[in-house]
Formats: sequence, C-alpha cells, structure tokens
Amino acid sequence: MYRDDIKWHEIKTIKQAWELLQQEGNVIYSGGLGINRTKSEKIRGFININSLSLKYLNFEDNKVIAGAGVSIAELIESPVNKGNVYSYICNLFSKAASTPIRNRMTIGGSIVDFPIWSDIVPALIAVNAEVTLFNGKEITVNIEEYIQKYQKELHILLNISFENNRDNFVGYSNRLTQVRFDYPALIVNITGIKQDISLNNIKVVVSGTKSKVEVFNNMENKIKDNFKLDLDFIKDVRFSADYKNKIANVYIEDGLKIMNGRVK
Amino acid sequence: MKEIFNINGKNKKIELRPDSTLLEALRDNGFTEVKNGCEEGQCGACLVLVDDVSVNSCQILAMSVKDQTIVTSKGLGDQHKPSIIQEAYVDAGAVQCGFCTPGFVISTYSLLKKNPNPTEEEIKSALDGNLCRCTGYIKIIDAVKLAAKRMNGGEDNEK
Repeated sequence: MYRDDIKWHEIKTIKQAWELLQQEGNVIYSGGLGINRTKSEKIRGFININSLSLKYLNFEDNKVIAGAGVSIAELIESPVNKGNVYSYICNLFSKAASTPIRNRMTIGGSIVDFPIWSDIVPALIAVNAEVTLFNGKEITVNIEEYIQKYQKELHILLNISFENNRDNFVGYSNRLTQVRFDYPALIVNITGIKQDISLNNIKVVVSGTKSKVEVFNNMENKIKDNFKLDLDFIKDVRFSADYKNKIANVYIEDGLKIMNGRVK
Repeated sequence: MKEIFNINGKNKKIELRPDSTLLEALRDNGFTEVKNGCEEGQCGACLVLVDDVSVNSCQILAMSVKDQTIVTSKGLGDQHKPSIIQEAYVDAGAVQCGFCTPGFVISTYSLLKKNPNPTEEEIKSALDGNLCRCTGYIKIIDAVKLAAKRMNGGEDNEK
C-alpha cells in the first residue's frame, strides 16, 4: 500500500522533474498503470509529468517520433499514411491489453516499466527503435542498449523513434496466450528484408524468457536444416518452460516460412 | 484533502486521499454508477471518460486527472433522460444484473464517436475491455448495433 503522506509534484520543465527524481522515493507518474501494480510503500512522491509537452507524434525523414506521453491508442490510431514498419508496429501494439488500457498506457511508461509480458518493447526491438532520454543530459540510444544500460538507472524517457517505411521490409509476430485478452507467455517477433528469393537481415526477438527478452541478429547465416534455438523460459501456471521453448521454435519456423513466401 | 474536479460537466469539490484511485474518489463522493469490479483493469465495470477517452478508473490515481474532464455513464444520460446508447441497451435486452452496463455504455460511446458505423468485428474489438458474466455478449452487440443505427438516423448499419 502507498504511504499516507504521499505527495504530488506538479512540474513545468524536464529539469524540475529531474531534480525531484533524484530525491529518494520520488517516481515519475504518467499513465500510472505500472505504478498502480506495485503500490509500493517506498514511494514518497509522484512527479506528474502530464503537464510536460511529451504528447506529440512527429513524422520526419521517414522517421516516426513519439513523445513518451503518447498513448498506445494514439500511436495506433494516428491518421497518417503509415509505412510498412509503422504498420507492423501498430499491428503488434494493438494486441496489447484492452482498448481502455491502451487508451491510458503511454509509450514511455511501457518502455520504462517493461514487464515480462510486454507487447511493446519486443516490437520496438524488432524494428531497431531508438530511445531519447534525459539523465542530466539528453541522449539517444538504441532500445537494446537502453534496456541493458539505462533502464534501471534514474532517467526521464523523452521519446522513441523508429523508421516509418523500409524497402522490402517483411515482419512476422505470434504470441502465446490462452485467450485473446491475456498476458502473453511468450512473443516471437521476426523482421527481415525480402529480396527476390532471399530473406536477409533476419532479426528474431523472443520475449518471456528468464532474461525477459532474447535477440538474435543476422539469422540468415545460422538457420540450417533442423535449426532450433534453446531458449530459457520461466515455467508458469499455464505453460511449462519446455513447452514454451517448443512453441517458440514452431513460431520461428512458421514465421520464416511465411516471410519467405512459402506459406501464404 | 479536498480538490475540485470537473465531473459530468460540473465543477465539484470532492474529498479524497492523495493515493485514491479515480474509482475510489468517484464512488466515495456519490458517483456510484461507476462500478468496482476487479480493481485490476480487466473487467471494465469502472470505465469513465477522461477528456473524452475511455479509461479504467481503478487503474488511475485521481490526482493525476484533476485538471481533466471526467464523464461517467450518468453524465451521458440517466433514467429521466437516457442517451440513445442507454435506451438501445434497454431495448435490446442487453441489461440483466446491470453491474457491467455502465462500463459497456462508456465503451459503446467511445466506439461510436470514432466509428459511427462499426462492423460486428469492430464492435467486439472495441468491447474487449469489458466483461459481462450474466447477459452474454450477443444482446450487448445487438445493443451497440441498435445504438449505431439510431444515431445514424435509423439507417441499416450492417456491412
């Protein structure tokens, strides 16, 4: 449960938010869905960043740039003419949670929080998204680097960006759930470039493993007959770790066949 | 603490704790049409509109939406002056125990505002955040179709 004397900090600038964030017990509050799951007693104050101008969607030079305060619904429902990478992202994001949750879920919170069942982060990894954050200075890093290095440190996420359209881009995704509205036990996302009969730059992203997510690049050089990945999953009440490993490999095999055009 | 919130078109001073969810703040101050179902964002009984967007009020701390407009199902209409959506739910027989209905009404409003002529698949998709444990979903989908038809001036909305 939250403490009784919890404070709300209304701020006007990123700098103000950063100063408050460095004080013990203060946390960033945007959509609030992640914070609400924990209701941690350690929280002494909420830094409400909804007044900052982080709710923007820009389209520049084949790039989609989404402010951290943009909701998943706003990103999906944007009326712009979407390229193939943006369409792939929208398709994957639309599988997350439910309509009213997606209305509240912010892109920033989804990345900072990154729960194991996230539909958002594995999708962004698959398309090589970049994250811009503030940790005393503004920096932009690849999302994989962000997760390895910056996610656990104090920072304010400012925006994410990814390509709108990529020539010959192909993508596949599948998620293991019991029913449509369920936390995925695992997600397999595959992206690549299809040129004539060959599939190149194959990137396989598998989430739900013990390390939350595993990324395999340039898989065209590794995939041979009877190829199998040995993935270390967590056993849960629905599926065993071994079952998840088998299913993930089935998804990868199916995905590659579909992307290669061998299955319609 | 006491704070002023804009609820159903009126500024109202309400009593709440700094950590009150919007659901708690609303119900504690008389807006009991907002139902407390699961408190996990799964059932949709607590849906309200915040700045005209449907959200699970159980998942949001009230203070975070203090400066935004909040509309409950009663803000769309009540038994004396029901909205087209509420009437459609009654006429289609989509209300049994009624506990989930305010949330479904909010989702229906949200859907029809964006998409006045939805297909059945689009209706099912828009209602993915609402659970009903007694009516079943067929009559609820019928109610959404009926509301759409009436809002479109009675035209057949089947695609």
